[in-house]
Amino acid sequence: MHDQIDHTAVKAILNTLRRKIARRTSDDEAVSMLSRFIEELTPQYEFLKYVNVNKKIYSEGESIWVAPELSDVNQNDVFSALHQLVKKSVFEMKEKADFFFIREFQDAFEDMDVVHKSMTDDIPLDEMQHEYLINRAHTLSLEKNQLIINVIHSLLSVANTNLSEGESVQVMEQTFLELLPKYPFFHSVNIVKNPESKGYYTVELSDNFQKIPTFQFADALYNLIYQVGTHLDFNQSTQFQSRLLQKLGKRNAELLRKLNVPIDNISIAKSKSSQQDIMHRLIDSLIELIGERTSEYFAVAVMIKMIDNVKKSHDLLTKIQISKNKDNYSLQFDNDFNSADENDFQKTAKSLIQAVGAHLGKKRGDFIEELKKKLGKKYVSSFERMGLNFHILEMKLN
Amino acid sequence: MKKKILVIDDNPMILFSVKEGLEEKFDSYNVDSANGGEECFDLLNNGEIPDLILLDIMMPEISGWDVYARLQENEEWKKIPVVFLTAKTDDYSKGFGKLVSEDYIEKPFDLDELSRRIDEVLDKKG
Repeated sequence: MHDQIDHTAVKAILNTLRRKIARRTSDDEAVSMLSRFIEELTPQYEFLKYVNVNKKIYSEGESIWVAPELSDVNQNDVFSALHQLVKKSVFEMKEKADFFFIREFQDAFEDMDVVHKSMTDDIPLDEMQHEYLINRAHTLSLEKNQLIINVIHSLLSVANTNLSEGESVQVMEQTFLELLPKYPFFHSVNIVKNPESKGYYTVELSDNFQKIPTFQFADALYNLIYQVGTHLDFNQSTQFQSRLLQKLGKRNAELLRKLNVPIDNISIAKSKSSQQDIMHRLIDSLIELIGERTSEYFAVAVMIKMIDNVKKSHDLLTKIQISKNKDNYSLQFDNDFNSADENDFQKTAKSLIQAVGAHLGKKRGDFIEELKKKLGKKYVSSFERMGLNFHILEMKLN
Repeated sequence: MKKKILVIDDNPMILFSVKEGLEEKFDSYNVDSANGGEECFDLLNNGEIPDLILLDIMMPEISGWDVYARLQENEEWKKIPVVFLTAKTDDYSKGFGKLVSEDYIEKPFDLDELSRRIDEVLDKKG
């Protein structure tokens, strides 16, 4: 048992519950719902008489008042009553009690340790949500194994819009790794290249996803979609969303909606590669390309010399330092590198590529093609968005 | 004052022909030779700093690419002009070699041409 929570903490919990319900319904509905629940529960928990729900919302959005006498009531009984109240709210709201209801509710108490701990330990909020969603899942006849495979396939197809198939798989695998600490069951997802179907990947599950609690399953799906979205370089999250919906098809999209995965409102923070990332990738790619024909040691020496030469006309390169020894190299960028003007950045990158390709004669076409491969679709797109046209660059290397 | 040239090649015939050829025919060069990277660095470490290095690329222990890279890590050695003297004639080797060297001469070479190009580099360096 935790330290005592007093009547003011209970008041905070109830007012938060009211606000979370109101967000999904309305102020009036939230107040009337809670009044009704308290009335229904008072015969069992007599102390609820100390709670007064007023239709008028007082200062700081509070409309529930709790008498100090509640502080003297047995804590277990108080938690039990609160448990019932929250449970009734979740079930009453039905589909409006989305996954984030419980999370928001818990998070609201992050700064109040005693309350937050009690909301986690003494009131099994996760279990409640789970129980509720299990019921819903039964009514949906949800086939989780098939749904997750379909979602992964759809995400791979969306990724493939901007990336090669290999890169798309890399993004998925990277995302699984990132999500593993929270959703260990992603361990059992394998994306396997099927040699018999050109470039087609099959998704296999080495464990049964059916047994995963529906709440957790849906939460994982949402995070998977969101995380993949942040890795992909779409100009707008709406673009990612519409492609995903298209690839998912009506049935899968409908199943996700029924699980309250907000696929119609995916707000993805744009993860645009920084200028530092792009320049890093360009230098790495050039070193790799030169190194394959000579040696990496020599390639690094070439890049140092090229950067030295090009920085005479492009100051931006003075903000990069290459350290090297026989076995490896590293790049350091000044802190303000990312704030460089995009046009300057693009011109600098172009000059660096031109400087390296300057003596390649009839191989210049191959050089640009190979460089694009080394950069990968994502970074080529980043350059092209800045206005660097690789085809024109190839011509200029004449 | 004779120009001091260091030629690095694993082929003794090349070392001999460059040394003898340049010294005998032109009388304006003093040629040292090294049969690979290690011997080259031994000479440099002993203070034998040449006016120009003729550097082969395909050598067994340390390639000419790596010899070049290591030269660049020493403030004094990096100032020495390097001319690749090599049988590697593919476009990429030539292209990348020319990026950093003063010249890129393909084998087989003509001694007069070699001398002319050495002088050109040294004149440019002043």
